[in-house]
Amino acid sequence: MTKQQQPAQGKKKRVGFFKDVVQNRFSYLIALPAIVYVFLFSYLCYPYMLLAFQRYDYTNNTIWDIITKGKWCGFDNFKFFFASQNAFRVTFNTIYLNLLFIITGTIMSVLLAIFLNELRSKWFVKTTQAVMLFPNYISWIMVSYILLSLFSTEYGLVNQALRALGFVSVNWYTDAGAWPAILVIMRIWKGAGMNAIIFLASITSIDTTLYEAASIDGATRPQMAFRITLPLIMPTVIILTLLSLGKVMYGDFGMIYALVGDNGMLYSTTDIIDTYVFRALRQVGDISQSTAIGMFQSVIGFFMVFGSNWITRKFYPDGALY
Amino acid sequence: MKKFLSLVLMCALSASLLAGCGSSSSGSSSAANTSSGTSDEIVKLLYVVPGDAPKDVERGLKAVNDKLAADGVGVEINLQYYAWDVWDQKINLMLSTGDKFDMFHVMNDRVTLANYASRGALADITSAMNTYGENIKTNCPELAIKSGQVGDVQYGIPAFWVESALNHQGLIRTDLLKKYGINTVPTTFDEMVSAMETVMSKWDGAQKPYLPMIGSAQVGGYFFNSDNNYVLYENMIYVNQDGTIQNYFETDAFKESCNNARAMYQKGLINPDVLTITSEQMNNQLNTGDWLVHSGTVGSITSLKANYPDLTVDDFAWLDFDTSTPEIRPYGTRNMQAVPKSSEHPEAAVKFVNWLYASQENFDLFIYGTEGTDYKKLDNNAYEAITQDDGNVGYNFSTWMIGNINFEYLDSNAPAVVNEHLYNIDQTAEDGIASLMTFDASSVQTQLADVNTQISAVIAPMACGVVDYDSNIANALDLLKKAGIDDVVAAFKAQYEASK
Amino acid sequence: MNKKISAGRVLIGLFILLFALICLLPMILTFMVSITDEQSILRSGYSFFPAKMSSYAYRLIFKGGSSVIRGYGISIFVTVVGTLLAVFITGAAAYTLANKNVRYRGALGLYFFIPMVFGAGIVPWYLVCTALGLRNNIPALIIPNLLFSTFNMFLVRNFMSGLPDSLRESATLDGANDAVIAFKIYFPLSVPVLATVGLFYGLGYWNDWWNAIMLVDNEMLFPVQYLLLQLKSQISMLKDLQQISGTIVGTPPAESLKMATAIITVGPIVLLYPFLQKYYVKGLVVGSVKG
Repeated sequence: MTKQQQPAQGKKKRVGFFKDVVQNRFSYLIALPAIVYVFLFSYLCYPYMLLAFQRYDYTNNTIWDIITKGKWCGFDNFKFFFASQNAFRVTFNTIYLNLLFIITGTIMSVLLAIFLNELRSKWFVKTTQAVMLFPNYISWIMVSYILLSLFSTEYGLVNQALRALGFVSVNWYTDAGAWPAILVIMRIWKGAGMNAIIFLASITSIDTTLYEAASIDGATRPQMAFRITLPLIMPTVIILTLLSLGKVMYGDFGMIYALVGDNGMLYSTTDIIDTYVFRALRQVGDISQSTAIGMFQSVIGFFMVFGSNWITRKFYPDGALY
Repeated sequence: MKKFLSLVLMCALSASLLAGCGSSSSGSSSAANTSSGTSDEIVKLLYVVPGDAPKDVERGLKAVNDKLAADGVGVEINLQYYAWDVWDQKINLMLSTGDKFDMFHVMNDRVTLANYASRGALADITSAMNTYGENIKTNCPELAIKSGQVGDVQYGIPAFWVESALNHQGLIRTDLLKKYGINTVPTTFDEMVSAMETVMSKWDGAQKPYLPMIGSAQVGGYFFNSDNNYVLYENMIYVNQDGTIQNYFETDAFKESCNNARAMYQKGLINPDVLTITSEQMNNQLNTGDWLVHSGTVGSITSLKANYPDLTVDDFAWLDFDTSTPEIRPYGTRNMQAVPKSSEHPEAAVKFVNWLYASQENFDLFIYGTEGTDYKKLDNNAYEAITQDDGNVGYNFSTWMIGNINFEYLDSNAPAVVNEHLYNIDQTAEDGIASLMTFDASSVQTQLADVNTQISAVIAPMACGVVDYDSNIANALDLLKKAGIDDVVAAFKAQYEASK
Repeated sequence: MNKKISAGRVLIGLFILLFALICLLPMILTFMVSITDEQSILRSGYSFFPAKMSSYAYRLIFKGGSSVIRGYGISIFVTVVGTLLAVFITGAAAYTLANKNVRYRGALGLYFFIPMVFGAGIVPWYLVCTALGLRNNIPALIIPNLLFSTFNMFLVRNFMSGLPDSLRESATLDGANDAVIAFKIYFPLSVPVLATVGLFYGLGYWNDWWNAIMLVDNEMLFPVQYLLLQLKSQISMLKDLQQISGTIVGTPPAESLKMATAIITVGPIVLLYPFLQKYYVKGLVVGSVKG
């Protein structure tokens, strides 16, 4: 098994790795299943990524074959994407949409968590919480059907309402500009309830005596929410943000492909790396190329997290990833 | 002690892994090996296909295998189905990891045979075809055989199940024409449009009878223009029988298509949401019967009868506005069977298909099942499937995967004109000049992807009439050029010249 | 306790109510469509008030009879066992990551983080699964998903880091080792976050059909998700094929079936969260240090 042998950053390398294992042997022992698992299913697979630099051949099945018999071709597999006119636009869309999702999603989830925490009626809280999870159970494809019944030009409910109020119906499916907003709303609807639960878990771990002390000092509920609750769940917020940033180059393929599909008029604002690559490789494409793009997305994501984690560690060490 | 618990956990994990090792039979994803492949031993053929297994698949296959044994073919067939949603990934995976199977279905309109072949996935069956493929060659025209070749190597066994010279034609409902007072079937495009307008204005049904269309598929525009002498390849290359090969979007044919589509759109004959319509939705519309004209064909009309109880198979007329120009075959066939390199007996696949096309009896047994249990024969080469109480047939196999036009029965529930045109070889049709060649797009892959993106973005709206031609064409052509359409056309031309 | 109902609280309540309604309505619509007659759907679209009802879609699903029941059994077993195992392993590793005595926990964190960002694709994963014997058996449905992303691990770690170090110190003084501390002290205190993570894993296992498709060919082992996917896939293809070769009869209930599939799949999982809600107990930390 390969383990990283970096010393803990910021400290002098006083304790060797194996000494640490021996000293904390029980901790390492209970973490062993996870370590082995990640090794088997991730690290063991990494040599396969070499394919990104080879001409793909179905007959090279094992790692040995890939290393010895593979036909190397440098960065050729990346060309189909980077030589494309759309490379910049889809990359921009991916990052832009993901950032929007992270920001709006976090705000909404935190708000929901704080609000739910404020309410008194237990059954109301429990019921609404359970209900808020429903959208998460519906797959994006189902959502697209429902969306269609809402937004279709002729029979959609939204346009019917507009017409009833005297407005002209809008052809939502040809208006690219409206879609970032539509996507953000759909994302929040689907995920906010779920993410709020994470924050709720954090909130429950806050020492209740803090609130008691604050109310004795005369603080109002809003003050308590913003001065106590919010700062104390910040580490969780930051961790979640950092983890999401790691995936900032991976667009939400499932959502966008289900909702936008092959509707070209919406591509300018909704086409992301994943959907573009999917279409490009659908008929003339192979695993080497998709591996190459995956690698590109991972590397950028990794640097993003590295950078943000470093910044976080400087200013807010509790929230850092490692 | 919690230490004990963690130990227990570890043991449980390793135990389950070991148990897994023990029982990993890899079930039906491996062809049992009788490896030497001599014709004395029975070779097991595993055929991988998309879709879902019919309920009585075992019974059906047993009958087939019994006959195969009786005929001394030396092959026993087994089927493995994978759901449509995961078909591409699963096949890719099986090919990449060297899973053992012997034959799988290839659909050129999804992923081309050339694509698989160029990445070393397929076994060369040229000699097998020459030795064991006599019946296949007799029943498939040269054009179809060529569809299964890349370069001069045979990789695919073609399924010549339908006549492909259908592009410039359509279907119209005569029952609706009569209902709304139109007594003659339109013979020109304009007559058809005015018939559509009449019907639309008087329509009393629930959903409007728009022209069934999917935005992305309409780019070819065959239905909307009067140029009947061309075939469109790769959705962008115009190949005229007279030898012209050019960017389709610069042609007059395209201009005419857009203008006609625009006129229809403005007259309210095309769905305003046409660009988002999926093929599912289009099929839904076709199944309800709320349409007058369709630029394609329909199959069984049983579901239409739910809304139109008096509908019969004769209430459909064939629309062909230019009967003087011969129809053109764009390709031989798009469906074929291929053999993966990992198969240990590639010739078994050829032997099986050869047996299939040896006699009507063989064909019926594999495709239609057991007579009396799964289907019954009717007059005029028609048949009727016998459904069990759950509404499904006990056993059958799709003709579009491995059928052959010389053996197929006609569905007695499909429109008569559709059967006539789809399942009879059109003797007056010509093979398209580029139909013998398979285009290898890997050298212009980036441009192809970019152009396709632009086609969806700026061409489809024009082709469906959502926006008009004149104000948008200049910009569209410019974007296409920047995306590299000229490179694609040039590559096609070069390969065509080389193949001549 | 403050009994007065402030305007602020009412507004908050309304906001939550509104959001909950927006989340509930599509579910109701899905259910209504699933019991609507197919022709009604095709002609009038989705509606809360169907013109004509029909339970055909559900009957079709349950016609599978014993295989659907078996599918449910498999799904439930895989979900329960998988979730328990996953929570266990995740929590244990999170403890180590949060343990300030472990000098190399930063490096370990990095070790776990990299797979979240870097993935090598399906093919090597498939090869590894095959090499480990995870094909055509129950472990194939459980193990490859065990830590589908180390994301959950970081959540738990964060939570555990927030617990006072004095807990560990005083327990160590009493002679306990890390394993005991982890499971006897930290786990009980981390119940809210473990329940959250359990929810995520539970949902993941329940909704998974990918593992089944990729690794299992034996239809005795298909979870209910896969069976439903097959059914949906088959029905929608039947419809398309009708247009090509006209081999099937009748109106396949594709639209209502899609919705019915969703309802059936969601059914049991709706119960999971309410079950877990009781673990979101406040004030767990108070008093635990004072002893």
